[in-house]
Amino acid sequence: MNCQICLEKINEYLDNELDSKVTNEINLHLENCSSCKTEYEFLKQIIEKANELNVEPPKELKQNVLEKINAKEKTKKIFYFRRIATSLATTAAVLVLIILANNSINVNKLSSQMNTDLVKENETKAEIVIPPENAVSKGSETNSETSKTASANIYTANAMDNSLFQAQDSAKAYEYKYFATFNGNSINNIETIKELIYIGKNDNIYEYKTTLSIKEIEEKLKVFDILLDNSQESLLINSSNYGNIKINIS
Amino acid sequence: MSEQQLIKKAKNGDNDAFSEIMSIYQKRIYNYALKTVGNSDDALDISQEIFLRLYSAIKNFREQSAFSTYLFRIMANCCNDFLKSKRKTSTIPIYNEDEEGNITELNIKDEKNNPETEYQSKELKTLINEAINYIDEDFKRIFILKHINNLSYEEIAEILHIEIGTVKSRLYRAREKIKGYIIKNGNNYSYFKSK
Repeated sequence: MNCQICLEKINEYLDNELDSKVTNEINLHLENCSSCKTEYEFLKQIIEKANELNVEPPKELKQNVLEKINAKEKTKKIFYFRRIATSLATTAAVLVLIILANNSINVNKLSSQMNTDLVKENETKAEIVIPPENAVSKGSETNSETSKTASANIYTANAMDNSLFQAQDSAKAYEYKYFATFNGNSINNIETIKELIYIGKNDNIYEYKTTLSIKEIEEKLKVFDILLDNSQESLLINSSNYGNIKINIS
Repeated sequence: MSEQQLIKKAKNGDNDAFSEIMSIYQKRIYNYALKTVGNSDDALDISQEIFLRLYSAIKNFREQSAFSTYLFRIMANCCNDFLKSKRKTSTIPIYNEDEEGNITELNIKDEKNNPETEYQSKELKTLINEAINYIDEDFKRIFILKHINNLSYEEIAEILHIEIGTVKSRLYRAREKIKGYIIKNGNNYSYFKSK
């Protein structure tokens, strides 16, 4: 091997990338050639010293990366939960719309059923409440007609209100029917109406007497969807705020 | 736990396993970045970016190549991206050579203020470090992968998507340039000038 070939191969020799035959030839040449040996030693030093240039990485490197990863994952989780929440909200909204649509279709059916229930209930209460002796019978026909129209309004409203309470038991929905109707009309505090005189409680019915006309009672109580009992001499109001109220018109 | 097991776990989102992988490779990653960009602040930022890229990409690692090759490819690309963006905003000193490949001029920052004699006292290591900063990127990259990261010709070829022959020739040129820098700037090596 001559110097030219040796110097051409010296890099691969330094990197241990030559086969054993060429490696041995170079070994032999370097032993006998001081010039190539110097070149070899110099390059070897460069390589060795270059390897010593490696330094330890700063401690914060790993720490910073892990912190960023954690922050990323947190954001990802929040984003994920938001997505779930959004899709749940959308599903809930769709379900409510479906339920509302179903109920609107069934409003008439529901109204007639509730109408029957209410009439039955009034009949029962009429039996319990004893009409006052001085009950006025005149004008009851007109009042009866007003109440018919008014009661129709209640049922429609109640049917719509009931739709919001599909998930609840029927007793709750029934109670809500009255609460929603009167609460929705902002019933006035019955105690503040001095013309309404409290008589007493009879079978869970709070009984009042008054000299006011039906129209005046309606205006003072701000309740326009009230019913007359079968005798047309007293008003029956059912409210979750006040319970069952009977007002005898004297 | 073996590296392969760690990789499997990290692919499944195990952050402890990922942390272990970082421990194994952080020295080589940081030093490659440091030698490539030349300052510790940028090297730290780039190293972090390399690991974050790895974190996002590890799920897609199909194990068709060695994991180290995969990671070093991310590393080389990341450093390359950094240099490209830096080149747009500032000028990096460039190593010059004549047509025959000899060093004709070195764009050394403080050359005028630091006469050649000052380099006499400098150690070979310091000179090598300076030389790495002044040779151009293609040669620098291969020199670092070979002598800082201790990779084989084959691994370097795979990482940089080049032929093994190209790796050999560029590595040879890189060493020659570094040698030339040392001879020119370190008087202790003046006896090589006659060669």
